[in-house]
Amino acid sequence: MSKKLVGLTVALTTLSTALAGCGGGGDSASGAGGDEIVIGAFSPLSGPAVSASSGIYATKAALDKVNDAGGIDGHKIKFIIKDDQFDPAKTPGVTRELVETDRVSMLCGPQGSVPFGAVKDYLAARKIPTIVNAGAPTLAGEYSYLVSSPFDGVGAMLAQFAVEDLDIDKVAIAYSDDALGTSARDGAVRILEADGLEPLGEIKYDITATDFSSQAIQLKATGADFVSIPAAQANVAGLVINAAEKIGYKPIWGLSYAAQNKTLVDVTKGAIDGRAYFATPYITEESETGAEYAATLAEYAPDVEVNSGATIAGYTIGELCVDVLTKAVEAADGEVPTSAQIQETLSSYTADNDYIQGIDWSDEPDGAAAAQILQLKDGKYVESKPFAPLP
Amino acid sequence: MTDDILTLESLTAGYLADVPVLEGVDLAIAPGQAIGIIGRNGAGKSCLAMTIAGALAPQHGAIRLAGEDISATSARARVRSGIALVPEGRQVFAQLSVRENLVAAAYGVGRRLTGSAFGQVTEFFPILKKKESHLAASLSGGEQQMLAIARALVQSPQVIVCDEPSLGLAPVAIDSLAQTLATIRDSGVAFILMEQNRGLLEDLCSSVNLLDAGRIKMTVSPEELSRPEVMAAYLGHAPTADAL
Amino acid sequence: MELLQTSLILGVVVGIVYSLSGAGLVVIFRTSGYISFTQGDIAAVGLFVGLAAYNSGAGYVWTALLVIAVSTLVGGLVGALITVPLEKHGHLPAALSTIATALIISGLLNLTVGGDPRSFPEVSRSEALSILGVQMSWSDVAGVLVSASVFIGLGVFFSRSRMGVAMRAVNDNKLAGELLGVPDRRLKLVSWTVAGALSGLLGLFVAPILSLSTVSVNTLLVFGFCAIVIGGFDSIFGALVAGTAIGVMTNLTSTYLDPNLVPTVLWASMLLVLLVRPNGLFGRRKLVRV
Repeated sequence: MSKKLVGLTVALTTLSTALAGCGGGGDSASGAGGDEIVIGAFSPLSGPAVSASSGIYATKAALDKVNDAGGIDGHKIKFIIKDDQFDPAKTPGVTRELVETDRVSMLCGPQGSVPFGAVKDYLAARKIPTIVNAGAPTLAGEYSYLVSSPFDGVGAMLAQFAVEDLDIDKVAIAYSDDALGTSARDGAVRILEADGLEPLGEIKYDITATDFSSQAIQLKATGADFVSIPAAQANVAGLVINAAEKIGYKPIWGLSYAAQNKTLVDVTKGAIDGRAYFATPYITEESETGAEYAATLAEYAPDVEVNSGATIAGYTIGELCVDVLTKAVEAADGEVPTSAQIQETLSSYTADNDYIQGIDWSDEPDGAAAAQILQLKDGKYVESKPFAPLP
Repeated sequence: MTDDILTLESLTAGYLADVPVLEGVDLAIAPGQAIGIIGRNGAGKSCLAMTIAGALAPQHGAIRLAGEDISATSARARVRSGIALVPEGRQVFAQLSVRENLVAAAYGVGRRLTGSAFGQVTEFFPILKKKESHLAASLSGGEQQMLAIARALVQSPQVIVCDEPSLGLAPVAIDSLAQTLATIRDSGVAFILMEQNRGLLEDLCSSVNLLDAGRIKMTVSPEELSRPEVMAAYLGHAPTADAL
Repeated sequence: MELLQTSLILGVVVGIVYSLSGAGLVVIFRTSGYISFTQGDIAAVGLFVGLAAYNSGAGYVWTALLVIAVSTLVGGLVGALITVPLEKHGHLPAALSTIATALIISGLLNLTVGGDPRSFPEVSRSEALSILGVQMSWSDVAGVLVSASVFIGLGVFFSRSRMGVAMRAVNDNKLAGELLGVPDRRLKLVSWTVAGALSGLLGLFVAPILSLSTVSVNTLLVFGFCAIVIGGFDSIFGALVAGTAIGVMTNLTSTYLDPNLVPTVLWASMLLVLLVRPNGLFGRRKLVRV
């Protein structure tokens, strides 16, 4: 089907749904087979944080692919994305629209720890389950399921990698004083102490700062050969790295999927190529499954950055949603599942597939318990250490 | 008269479009001549000064400088063509030094404040040379008045319109101001002096016009100012002992 | 000890850039009497145009000149078409219009170039000299030298040049300026144009450090704003000293206390100065009475 035709179909579907709503006022989801499964998400689609939208477009690509293949047991997925501009003051408004006007049965991949934090309790009260695209461990709850690995484990894995694989015992940690930063730091300290080591420095930074030279000086003064800065987003990581390299301090950098994108490479002007490692629970474009991922993205969301951690996370979440909905439709005997049925499926869901490993929401609704380490090499992210359980 | 430098012909002007403050004012002044305008508060003295300076546009009538009608020109153009205003309340640039006040005034007519121009002006007001780098805000009232006049002088005007130059000055300061203004007048500059102070008018002016409710009610010689009928016209009632 | 030395030196280097960001604000303040909040966005327009030229092969020098040229033009246009005409309604509408203009420009930039931070070329990363063991790149040296010459230049301009004095006069007493024939509108347009050029120049030093995004120059202007408040609104020298002091102070706070305390220390010291010396540390001249 051509793009135009898809657009027209979507428009007509929307129109007819709207008209049905106007005229009847009753239950419009009658009859079997062809009914839509309505799900939604919020994400910045405009505003200063618009670059974080690559994740939601990737999620949508995964869902579109399934729709084009006939949907789930004949049910098309209607995916409604609302723009909250990454502004937690706007998130509650658009979330209410999704829940109360659009009547979504679940949220699939809403973006961001802070925006989601603003609506977590509301969604739980309305019993709307969510697969969240965010990393803060505090976001996990009865109705909110995390996919990205907890930063405690990410920090631990990077420290373990430095000590055991790179054979470095001089490790320093840079962290922000928030839930993500401190849990990443604690994870690293835990591993170092288990090895009879301790970090040469635990240097705090403020993510809203403009000048990171103070952190650079302190990191340099530790004399560490490996600096772990796991929870940092690409822009902040870039500023810290640039400040350090500017004063002649060039350690090996330990990062995570949060910083794994073009922005980091661009901002640091490629200076850290070969010296930067990324812990991630997600696949890469270079892997076998990754090729399929890249092909889907090229077809359904050709403008988004393929190699970004956020895009891969978004796509993975899209795949998870499809898997969960497929199971929920089965449980509903082929009908469109209700929120309660989806929640039922989620609460016993486990995943160990080509896209993600170590998801066990029957135990805890937190993220993947396995990750791999990638190395930035010649502008590509190549596997340095294969998937393994987080320490 | 063709040798008059500035003439006003049935000039009507005001702050609001339909509310004239001045009505049908006729005046003529020759180079080196000073004329006085006297009148009660609200008679229209400041309005006249602002209209001549171009800050207010005339509603009727004409203003001619050396025969040329300049009624429609802007304040800036008037300054450049040779009409300088010493505004009521001095309006010095308080946070600028004495010298910088003069520099800004010279800039207003597109000139540089040359050493000789500064020397010439401060010859009239030696105290300004002494306080060259003091802030205008730190000067006394009399010194600020001198600065306001000096600012007009560095613009090399043909006509200076002085709005209440003696206001707030001590008698001794008024005397020395009168002397200085007379010297400037004798160098060929024409003066229009809006004043309440009889001494200053007597020392400088060849004639004094009595402005009342926006019209020139009578023109007299300075000596005639003390005559009871003139005083009565000015005050609106018979003079009392402490009136002037 | 080395930690302290390095903190101090790097604090001075970044502080001088803070001062430079205050300089553009002072130029408009001295003529118009209010702060422009548009300067960061004016710089951003210039920087994005410059980056596009750089990416299509222009050398650094041409890029830098283009950035300054575009910022100058945009600054002049904002002044001529929006802010200066609004001054006839008072300072407040004009100052508010700078905020509105800033938001509009940044909105348009978000729409056209997006919010991704990008790297921006710099003079040179190679080491120029080493002070007490701290290596300084040619970019640092250029930043310090350019800032210093801008400050000396502005200082001389406002105190010695006819135009600079006239600009201050217009701000000091608008009516008197008008009656003396000082062309205040033209002077204000000049000040907006010069401030635009200075913003572009500032951007050339900020963008390589902070990476270029629609907000990068703006984030730095906060420090410039504090610098001119602490230094004294109309003191160019005050902005230089205060900006440098802020650089050192924030750096020491971050190193020895807590990085999250930096904004608190910054704003608290600004308020303290306002309470104790409302005209800023170097704004004393204004209070002189004999």
